[in-house]
Amino acid sequence: MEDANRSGDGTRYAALMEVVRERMTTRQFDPGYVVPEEHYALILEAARHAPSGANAQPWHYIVVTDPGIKKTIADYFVAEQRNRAKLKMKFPTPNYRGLETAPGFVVVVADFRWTRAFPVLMDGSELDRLYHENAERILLQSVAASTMSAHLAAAALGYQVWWVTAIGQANAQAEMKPLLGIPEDLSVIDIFLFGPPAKSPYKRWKKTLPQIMAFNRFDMANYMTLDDIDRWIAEKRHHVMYRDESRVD
Amino acid sequence: MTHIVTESCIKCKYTDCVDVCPVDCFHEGPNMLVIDPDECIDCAVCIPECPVNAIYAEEDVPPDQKDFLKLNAELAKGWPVITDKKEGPPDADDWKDVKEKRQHLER
Repeated sequence: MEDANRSGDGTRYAALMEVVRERMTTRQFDPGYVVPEEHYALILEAARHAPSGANAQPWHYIVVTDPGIKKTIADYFVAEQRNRAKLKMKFPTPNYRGLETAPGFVVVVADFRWTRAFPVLMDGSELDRLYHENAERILLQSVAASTMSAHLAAAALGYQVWWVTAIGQANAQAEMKPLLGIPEDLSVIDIFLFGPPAKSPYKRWKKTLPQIMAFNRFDMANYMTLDDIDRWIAEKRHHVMYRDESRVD
Repeated sequence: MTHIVTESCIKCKYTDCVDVCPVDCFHEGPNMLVIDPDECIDCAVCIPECPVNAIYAEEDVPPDQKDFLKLNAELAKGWPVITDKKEGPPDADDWKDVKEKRQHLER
């Protein structure tokens, strides 16, 4: 048992890595596909097992099957995308219209009140504020771990996925919470879409292992200055976001 | 996949699209703009900005405009990138409802 799980013949690792590697972002799904109802439970069962700070499990998943709700949320994102463009944010946004026809559509909700279950003082002091900031990071990591488990479960069922982030703005919350009956003190944190892709998905550029890994000490060869980062944003960002890894210079 | 600029742009060149493009993929010719298909990320933000509806996603290009797919790729190579909106030609409004104007394309 121990051998099979640790070194063993590696079949479990290979099976896991196949799912991990094949999880690719798709932003246009097959609009005609209907997700079998049991798949939602299979996918969210994986979310349920994720680790979380204080084992608080501060997450909720709302499965959206109503096409009207999907459209309203897609409209919000398309409008927001337009606002950002008008602000000259220059962020290479995807076409959010793809939300409307995503077969699998799950809104991820976080309950930030659970930060009080983490190491905080609750006395309103400056020190407490710093611990609360840390507690928010704990909470975000927890919800992300659960969400990623769900994404991998969807990938294991043969779907491609879209992790729609960047929806922390007050107007996004105001738009979606009443629509989905989410209590005021909870937050929509991201949207998880899945389904068969409309076109074949492509593998994004990923850093090599030596670029992200070191033993005992940070490898300064992997340190980027702010200038390096700004150059990367200007020259590489939109390529690594929207091209197959073989086509990134 | 890409988006492209079609015939309606010729002699209008309003450049509203340029202002919203996050990846600066518009190139400017004497009387028309084109999109560099290698840079366009299909975000579709430019489509509603165009006052003459000249921009289409590759898969939605009307049959009589298909030749602009090749033209965009070709002309983008030689024309300079344009990153900011500017005044259109003084007679742009006179041309906005003219349907057939491909013969006026200046390279």
